Amino acid sequence: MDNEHSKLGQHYKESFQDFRPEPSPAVWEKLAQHPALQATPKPSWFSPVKIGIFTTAIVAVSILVYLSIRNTPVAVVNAPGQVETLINTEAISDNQTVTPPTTPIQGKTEVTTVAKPTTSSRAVIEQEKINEKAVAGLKEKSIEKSEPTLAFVPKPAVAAVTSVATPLITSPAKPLPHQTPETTETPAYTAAPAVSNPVVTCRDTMICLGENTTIWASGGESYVWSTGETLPMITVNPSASTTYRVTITDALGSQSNATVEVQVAICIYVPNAFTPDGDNLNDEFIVKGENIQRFSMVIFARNGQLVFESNDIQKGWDGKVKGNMGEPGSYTYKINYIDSLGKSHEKKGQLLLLR
Amino acid sequence: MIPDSELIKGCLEGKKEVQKLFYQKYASTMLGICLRYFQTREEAEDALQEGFIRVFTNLVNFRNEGSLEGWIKRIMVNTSLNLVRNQMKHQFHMDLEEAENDLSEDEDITSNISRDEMLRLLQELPNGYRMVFNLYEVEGYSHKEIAEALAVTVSTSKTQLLKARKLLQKKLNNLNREAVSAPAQKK
Repeated sequence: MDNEHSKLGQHYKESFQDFRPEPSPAVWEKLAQHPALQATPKPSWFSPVKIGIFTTAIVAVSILVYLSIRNTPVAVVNAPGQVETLINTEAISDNQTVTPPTTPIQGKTEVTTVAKPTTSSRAVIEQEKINEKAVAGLKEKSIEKSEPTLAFVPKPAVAAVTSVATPLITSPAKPLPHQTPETTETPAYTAAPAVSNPVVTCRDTMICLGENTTIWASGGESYVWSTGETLPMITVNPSASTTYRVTITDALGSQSNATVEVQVAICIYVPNAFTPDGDNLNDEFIVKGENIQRFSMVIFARNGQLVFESNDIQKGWDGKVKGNMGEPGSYTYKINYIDSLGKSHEKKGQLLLLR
Repeated sequence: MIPDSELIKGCLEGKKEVQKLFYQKYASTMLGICLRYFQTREEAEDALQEGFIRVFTNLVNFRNEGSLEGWIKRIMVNTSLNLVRNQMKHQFHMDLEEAENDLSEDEDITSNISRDEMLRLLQELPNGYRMVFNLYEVEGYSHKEIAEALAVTVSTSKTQLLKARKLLQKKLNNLNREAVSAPAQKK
């Protein structure tokens, strides 16, 4: 079969190389009206929605801590079964430790509207199913209350906790743990011996692509992670947001499950090569980043000589070393930046100068 | 001329005047591509518009790794292919007999035919022939790439190309004969 370009094809190709007919004005007129040409908002994970989620996280954690403080006189744990305590939290600061309550609380919930947490709502503390509704309702309230423009203001969180927690305390009908709760919609629940003090800690649940984070669990005798690892501490380097689950077993054989979601965001993009040959294509080594608050980059030659330094993400390296074109080959960069959440990152790597 | 990076930035910020500059910079080249895929200018302009919508929608994903023009061209070709394929009821089964006729392929008959005539003849080709001919001969795709783009086999792409060439050559020959004989008749 003829695979060559024919004379005819060649002629066509040459004839149409510079074929640039002017489109009628109507094309642009219609195009200009299209939504695709309206301003594209930069993708950001610092949106009001997310702020709401963060606020929810604070509320949820506060409730959990609050419940664990006041749970001792309420619950008697004696029924068989299995307690499942899910911790699914989006940590705001490093080293945030979440301690699930040692025993479940069988409070009667007075929240009638059931707001299922959305899948994007990562800051979910799923207590026993009975409490789930209360928490969900609470979250709904706190989201409504919190001003979307205010980030991390603890006030609405505190207010939300007290306003809902109070009926929990004063609620006259506190069913015993093995009793079926009075609310009919609430599924029956039997408490189980749980690991007395399971704690799951994540160094950072929000990382940039390429970084790693450490999750560790304690309070039990043995641990089984969803990754298959069995050590108390795992280091993970997910390429996309991932939920890690751990089953903690204590000396008595009782188990708790916990999950931690690690969110991965693409924070900056660093190319790995550039060609400073003046053809306007990839002539500069320039880092692309979104919502970067502070940025610094240094580039070293292989002999350790500092060849470029910049504190401006918009400013790239043109490949010149002291006014002369740098040698082709590999260079090392180190970038420090602070992301939109105020978290600092360091990224090191190699880049190739090609000619 | 404003560099592409500035154009992209302005477009993403939704600046109408920059978007217009962007459009003006590439529209005519891209119409030149679209016209080769459609039988009428109206269809080609529709494809152009559709293609630019895709370009603007996806501009945020464009990384400065290759040439912007090449990227836009690919979008235009793909948009055109999609639209042509949507029009086609039966892919690649048209006018086979017409192409089977024996022709002398080597006649140098293209030199004195204008580009507008060449375009018209190309546009007269059945859709399948036209797409493969354009992709292979003008765009420089390989048969493998064509097969993937059109969801056909490599051998279909090859036979379609051969038939397209033959038919086009025949049309050119006819046109040439007319062109030669017409002035003669006038005298």
